[in-house]
Amino acid sequence: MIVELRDETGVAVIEPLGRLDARTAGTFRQRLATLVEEGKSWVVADLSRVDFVDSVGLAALVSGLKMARSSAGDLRLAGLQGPVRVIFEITRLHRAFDIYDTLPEAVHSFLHATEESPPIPRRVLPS
Amino acid sequence: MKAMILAAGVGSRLSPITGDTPKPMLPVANKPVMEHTIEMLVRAGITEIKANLHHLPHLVEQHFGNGRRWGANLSYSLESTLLGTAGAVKRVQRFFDDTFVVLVGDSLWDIDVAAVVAYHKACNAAVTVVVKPMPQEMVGRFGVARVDDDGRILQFQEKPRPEEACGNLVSTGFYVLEPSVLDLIPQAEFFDFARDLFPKLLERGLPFYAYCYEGPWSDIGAFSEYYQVHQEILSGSYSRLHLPAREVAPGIRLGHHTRIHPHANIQPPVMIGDYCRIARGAVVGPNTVVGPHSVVDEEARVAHSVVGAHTYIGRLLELERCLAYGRWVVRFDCGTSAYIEDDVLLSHIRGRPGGQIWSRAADLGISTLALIGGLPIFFGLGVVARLTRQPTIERTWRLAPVPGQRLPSGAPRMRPVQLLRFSPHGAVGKLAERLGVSRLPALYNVMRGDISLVGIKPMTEEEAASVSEDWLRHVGQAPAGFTGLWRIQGGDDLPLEETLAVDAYYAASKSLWNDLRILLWAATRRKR
Repeated sequence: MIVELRDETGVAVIEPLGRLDARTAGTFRQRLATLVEEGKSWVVADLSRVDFVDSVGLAALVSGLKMARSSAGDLRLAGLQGPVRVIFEITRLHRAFDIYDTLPEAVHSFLHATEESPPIPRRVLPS
Repeated sequence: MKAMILAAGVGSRLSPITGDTPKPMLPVANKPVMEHTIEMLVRAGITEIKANLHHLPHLVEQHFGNGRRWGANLSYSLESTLLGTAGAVKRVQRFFDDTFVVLVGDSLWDIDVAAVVAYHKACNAAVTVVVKPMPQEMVGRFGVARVDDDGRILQFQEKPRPEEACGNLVSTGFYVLEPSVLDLIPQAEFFDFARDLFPKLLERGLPFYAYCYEGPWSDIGAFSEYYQVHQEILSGSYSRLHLPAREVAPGIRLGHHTRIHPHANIQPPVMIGDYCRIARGAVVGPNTVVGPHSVVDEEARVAHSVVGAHTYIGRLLELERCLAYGRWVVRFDCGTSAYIEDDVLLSHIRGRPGGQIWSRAADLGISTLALIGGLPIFFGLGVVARLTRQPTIERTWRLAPVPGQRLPSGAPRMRPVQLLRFSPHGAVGKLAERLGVSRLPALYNVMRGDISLVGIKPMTEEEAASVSEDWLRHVGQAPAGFTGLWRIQGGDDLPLEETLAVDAYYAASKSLWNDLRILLWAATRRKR
């Protein structure tokens, strides 16, 4: 089940619950696509209530990242729990995403970008 | 001289790894830790060894047996309720008739056992404890001793606060005792050496001495310690350990039959077990131990890590300071564990691949032959079906365990299979029932690989739901089968509880030979 919140300050927050796996990843991916299509390409995925991610869930996150970045935005992650963090690290995806400990930090990263770290990353994932 | 190994610990701090592995069987440098202990004792001439067991005792007994493989005479004391370190020794009091050694089965020392015993005898001690100096802030996890200049223990504290500790010598769980001391231990009660027995020794002024040991010592109670002991072994600190690998280059130890791609990158110090395969572009090491029968696939990187046996490390996977054991990845520094469900990332390679291929080939071959041999029957039944225009084949849904895959709880993963059989609603089915061949179409499922030729009974959803996870764990070790012990014992007429018991027995004693015998019995339709 996915709960979606909209932050007034212009950053969309999507908060999946429980497992992000073959059964739930499809819905998650669609929600992300909808957000980007609606022009909300600054997205934070709050994973603090996700206790498990498998390769399908990771693929959904990566596709969300590509969609957001190709719309001059970004998908950033917040609140990775222990086991989920381990899975990101062993698949090396912790280097592909900007990951923050808490939701406020992730939202802050979009809104208060300095010249050294613009909110829109220059690199784009190869398709 | 005799010895006792305390191997009854549950190892809760090493959960989830110790869920289906008892602590003495945890691999250290690709050998169960208790194997190192037994070898150390045998090298010192101590061959009569008793081990107490509690958690998953059958796995320990299965591996060690009577200890003859290591030159020891090993026997066991099975504790259904834990009796503590001293209580366990008291239980087998009659085994010890002279000075004896007691040590914990989940620690490693690089010690000269004979020297400790000689010291004990020279001091005329009743009990000698091997102690090691430790930094003050770490003493709180152990028993701490304060000694005089002769080594006699004046005070002993169990897990004191660092500021209240009386010294910095901690007990390493290695004791030498005189049999008379056992009289101080009450029968059949929980009694601990450090907490209960040592205070009594001090009270009565019995000669209680400490042997100061300064070499490497590891008690693998936590993940950080598990990692540290491997680092120390790889760096050569443990000079007396017998490692199951050959040093082919400085710092690189390999087992036999291991294949390493010329474009793989092996960085010492590293130890790779037997029958492993390291693929192109893989980086293994530094400070890494890979268990036997494991595969590190292309471009994967395993550094400062320990990989268990029979483990597949998927392509591009990166393990840094992790333990990969079965389907679990555990970070050494924080102890966080993650269960990996995707086979492409990490999986358990069940058994030797060769064995599974033969078993599948046999299933495929025999079922194909049987189907071909049964063609006349199928033809005849087909004609009858044509004439009567009634349903012939029906599919029923059953659940079968997926071999080698387990849920985090330890229960086997079940998947639905559609088994074919002759429909009892048609004339064909009724005829087939009369001939006793109504389940023959399921051979097609065997050909497809949905089920095996011989196995446990495929369960219905209701049956699977009503079975407890513990039962499923025993039963689900074997695949579902077209026939099996269950069929010989009564087939569908057998009540569920009896079917489960028969299947659990079958799964525990599964072998190719047993399967062939069951097949012969079933084919000749003899009921036991």
